[in-house]
Amino acid sequence: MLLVVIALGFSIAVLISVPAGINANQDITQAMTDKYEESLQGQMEQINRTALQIYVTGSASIPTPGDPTEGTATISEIPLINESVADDVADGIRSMDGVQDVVSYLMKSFGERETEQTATSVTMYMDVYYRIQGVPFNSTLDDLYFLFPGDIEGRKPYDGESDAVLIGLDVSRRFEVGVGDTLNINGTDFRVVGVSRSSGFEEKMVYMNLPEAQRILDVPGKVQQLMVCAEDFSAVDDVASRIKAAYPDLRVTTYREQQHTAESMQQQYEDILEKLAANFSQIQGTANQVTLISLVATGSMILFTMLYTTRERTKEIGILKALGFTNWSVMTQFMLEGTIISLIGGIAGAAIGSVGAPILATLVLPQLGSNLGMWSSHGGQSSAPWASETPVVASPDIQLILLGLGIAVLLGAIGSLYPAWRASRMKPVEALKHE
Amino acid sequence: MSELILKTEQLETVYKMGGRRVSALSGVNLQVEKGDFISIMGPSGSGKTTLLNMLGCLDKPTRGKVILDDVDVTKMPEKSLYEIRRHKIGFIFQTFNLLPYLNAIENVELPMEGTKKSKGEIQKRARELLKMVRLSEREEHRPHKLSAGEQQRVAIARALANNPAIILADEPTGNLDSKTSYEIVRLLGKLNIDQRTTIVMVTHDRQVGSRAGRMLFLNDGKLLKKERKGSHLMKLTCSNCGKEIQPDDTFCAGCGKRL
Repeated sequence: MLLVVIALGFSIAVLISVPAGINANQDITQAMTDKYEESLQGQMEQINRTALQIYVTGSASIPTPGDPTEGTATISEIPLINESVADDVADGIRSMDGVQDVVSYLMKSFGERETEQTATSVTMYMDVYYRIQGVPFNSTLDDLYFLFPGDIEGRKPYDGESDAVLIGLDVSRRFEVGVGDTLNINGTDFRVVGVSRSSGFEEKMVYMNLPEAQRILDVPGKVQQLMVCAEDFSAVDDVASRIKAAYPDLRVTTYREQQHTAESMQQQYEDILEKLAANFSQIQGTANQVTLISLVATGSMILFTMLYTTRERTKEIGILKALGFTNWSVMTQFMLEGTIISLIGGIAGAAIGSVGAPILATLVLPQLGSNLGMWSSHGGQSSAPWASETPVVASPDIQLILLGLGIAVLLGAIGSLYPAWRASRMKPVEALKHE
Repeated sequence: MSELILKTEQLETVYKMGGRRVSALSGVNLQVEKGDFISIMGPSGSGKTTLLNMLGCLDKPTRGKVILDDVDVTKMPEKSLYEIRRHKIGFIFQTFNLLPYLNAIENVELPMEGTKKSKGEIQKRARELLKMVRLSEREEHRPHKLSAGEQQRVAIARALANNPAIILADEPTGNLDSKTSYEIVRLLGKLNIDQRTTIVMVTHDRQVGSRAGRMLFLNDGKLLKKERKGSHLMKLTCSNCGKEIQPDDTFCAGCGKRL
């Protein structure tokens, strides 16, 4: 009896855990695929964008003499990058064949330069308060490259709106200005028309029209960098070489090699999907086997135990019959017993299953991703979000538990059907003689 | 006045045992009247238990008739026999045959389950019966907590549960010591006198058998012609003062002698 309860308990626990495990695995496979696809799409978009880009910067860095007023609390210009490209170059490149558009940048950081002196070293660092960025606000590339941060309260300055700025959240807090307020930068008053709430490097940004930036930074006609965007991939190399030919002094950088990365990523993606599918179907196969085996094993266990029980209790059957019990009532009594025992086993199993499903599912089923070891060991790509090891947590829902109980009862009824029938057919005299 | 309850006509039972035909009963003609207390005696293997099984519809004879309450039960389908066993016959076995996982009162209630009686009626009747066999104190005890004599008393109460027409007792004292045997036979005798319960008892014990009203003898499957009167309805007298005493008395009412 106890044996049946234990066997059934375990079996039902497995029966509950396995589909729960399958569900969990399925969910995770799906989640992995989705995550991976999303991440891949993002990367592909990024690659597609950058693959079209050509950066044009000055060929040499000429240090601008900054004001090294140490220890003062005044905001000083931090000489980091040089502005060395004449902004009329932009117009020249823009007119070239195969060029979609050109964006000119001018950026300068302001803040406090501080030194920290310890016994062994002197560390100098910049506490950046804000960065002025001069950009064209009418660029056709804004849609593609998100030149400006999102989540803007107010609006962006219009093209040519000379006194308007869009500022980051940090700038807004530091100078306690909001939309509609006036902000003085390098002696010039600007109207804040927009505040971006997005976090990141844009927190410290002050976006303004390029001519204003050139004026307040006192670099008329100069920009720091040109971002050239080719019309399509095939034109990138050609455009780059024509830029080089026209402006030999400037440095031209393309991201052509990104193409290859994109292609290999696509390939890798397909491989992984294939492996995931194979992995999952393997798990499914094992699950089917385990389920079948445990069903058959439990069924026969109940059958044999009930056969044994009825043998043991042959005399009791004889007594019941001598007392006037019908075949039917003897049979139903034994079947009821078998079913109740199975129900107890089923309840035990459901209890074990709902608590131990994660462990049982892990024990019984092969690990998802076990043959995808390359994921995490794939060097640079390992940090991709989809590759993170997600633990498979099988949690059976109420339907599964009820199904398990149902199966237990059904097994009990089927397993005790034959023994009960046999018991009921016994001749009372024969049964009574049994010791 | 006499009312025939059970009658057999030329009862014959033949068993096949390893190819040999063994005759267990041959030409048994038995008549049991209402209120009879019959003991059937004979050595072991004489067919006593076989006869009792035939009378109790637990087995079917090869030939002959068993007529219970004017109905030939040998011709009845198995299905109807359940009803007969339940309502017309009460069995008492040598090994008591109580269900071990039921307590005394539940064992007594068992034959009444599935009858038209309500739960309350069943329980009331079981209580009465246990009181009758003087086991009221032990209603909740399971068989293994009861002595052999007590177990047999529970079995007697169970046999009486559905007010059967006849009680069939198969070696009811076979597993009891002589003192307890005497108690059980006395109880059966008391039931016979007080309630006119018809009893057919099979035994090989002469002492026990002689306590019945009629003693019949079975030998080699044949009922012997001789029949004796048992001591059952004889008046008992005190050996000391000669006054009448009751079977239940421990002391003589006349002279106070321990009996």
